[in-house]
Amino acid sequence: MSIMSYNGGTVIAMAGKECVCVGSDLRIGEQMTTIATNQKKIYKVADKIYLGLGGFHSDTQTVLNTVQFRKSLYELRENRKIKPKVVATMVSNLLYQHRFGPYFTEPLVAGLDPITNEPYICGMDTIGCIAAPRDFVAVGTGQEYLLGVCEGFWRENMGPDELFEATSQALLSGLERDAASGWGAVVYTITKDRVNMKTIKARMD
Amino acid sequence: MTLSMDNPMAVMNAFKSAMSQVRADPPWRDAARKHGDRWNPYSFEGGSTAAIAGEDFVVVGSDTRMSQFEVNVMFREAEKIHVLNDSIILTTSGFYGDVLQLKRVLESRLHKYRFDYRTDMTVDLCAEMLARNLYYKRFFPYYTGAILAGIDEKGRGAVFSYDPIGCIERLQYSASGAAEPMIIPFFDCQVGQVTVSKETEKPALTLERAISLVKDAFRVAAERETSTGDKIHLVVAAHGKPIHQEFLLLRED
Repeated sequence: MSIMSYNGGTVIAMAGKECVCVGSDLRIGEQMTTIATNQKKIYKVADKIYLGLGGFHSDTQTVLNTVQFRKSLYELRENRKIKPKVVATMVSNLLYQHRFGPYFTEPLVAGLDPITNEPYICGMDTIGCIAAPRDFVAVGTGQEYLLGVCEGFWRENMGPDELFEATSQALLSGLERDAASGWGAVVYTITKDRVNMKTIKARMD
Repeated sequence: MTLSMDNPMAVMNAFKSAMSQVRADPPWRDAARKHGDRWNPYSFEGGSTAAIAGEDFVVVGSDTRMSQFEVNVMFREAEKIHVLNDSIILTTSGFYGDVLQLKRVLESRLHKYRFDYRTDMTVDLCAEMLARNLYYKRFFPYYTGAILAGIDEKGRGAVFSYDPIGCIERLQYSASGAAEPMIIPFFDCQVGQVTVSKETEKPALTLERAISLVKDAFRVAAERETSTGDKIHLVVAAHGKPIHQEFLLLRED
C-alpha cells in the first residue's frame, strides 16, 4: 500500500459565484484500522482562505505548521492580508523545496480574495505543481470517485446554497465507495461576509 | 573451449555470441527486473461500460474507444456491447482479446442451448453460466470486467456484475472499466439515492430517466478519463419490445 493512502482521507473544493465550498471526511486510519473519526482535513489559513491536506497525516501537520508560520511572517512583513493565490504559491514553493524527498501530501487551497472576493481554488501534487481550475478540485484517496460526480453536478455561477448542496452530494457519493474515507463529513461554505461550517450526516463506516 | 589467435574467425564468433548473450541478459539485472521484462499475456484497451436495470427495462451503455497505454487511440468504433439474444446483453471492457473470446464462448454455448432445448436461454441461466465460464479459467483468467444485462423470466430488468474470475452479483446498476470509479458514485447518488435522507421524495426510475443517466455518466467519464470517449453505444431492452440500439457522439479528445 502506498504511503499516500496509509491514513486515508479526501478533500474537495468547488467554486461558485463569489463563494467557494471546501469539504472533507473525518476519518483517520492506519491502513485498514480506523484510528479517529473526528479529524477534519481542512485548516484555516486566513479569514477567507482554507487549506485542505490529503495524504500522509504526519506530513500534512508539518506542512500545515510551516505554511501557517510563513503566512504569519508574510503578513507581518508586507503589512497586508494574504491572497489565496499567494498561499497556493507559498505551499507550492515549500513542497518544491523538498523535490527529492517530498512531503507525502497533496494540498488544496480554496478561498476568496480578501479585497475583491474573487473565488480561487487549486490543487497540487506532492511536489507542488499547481492546478487551478475554475470549477472544482479533489485530493486524497477518494479523488477519482469524487471527480466523476463533481463533473456531473458543477454548473457555472452557483450561489452559496446551491454550491453547498453540490459539494456535499458529491462528497457523500464519493465517501460511499471509498473505504479509506468516511465516518462523517464537514463542509465549509466561504462567502464574502461569513464562513459557514456544516457537519453532514453520512454513513458511518 | 580454449581459443587461440590461430583461428581469428572462431575468436570473433565466440566474442559475438558472448556479446549478444550478455546484451540479452545482462548479469547486473536482478530477478525482479528480469521478471518484469517477460512477455505479458494481457494488455488493456481501456473503455468503460455501465448498465441500469428498471422495473421492466434495462439500459446498457458503453463507449466505443479502443486505446493502448491510455494515450494511443487505436480504434474509435470498437463495440463493447454484444447483444446475445432477444433478452441477453453482454457488455465487457478490459483486454479486448478476452472480451471477444468471452463473447464467442457465450455465443456458442447459447447456440447449443437453443439447439438442445428449442428455446432461447434466459438471462438468469446465462448469468450463472457466465460465472462458471469465468471461474473455469481461474488460474489464467479472462481479463475482463463483465456485466450481463437483460430481461429476466419474470419480465423485470436484470443486471449481473462480475469480476474477472466469476464472482457474480445481481445489482440494480453497475459499471465496469476504466471510468468505473467515476460512474459508480454518480449512479449511487442518482439511481441508488444513498446520499439523501429517507424522508426525501425521490424521483421514480423511468426508462427516460435511466437513458439520460447513462448518457450523463459517459459524458462525465469522457470529460475526465482519457481511455473513454468517441461514441456512446446505447442499448435498451424493455419487456415485450425488441432491443433498441443507438450511437451518440462523445468527445474525441
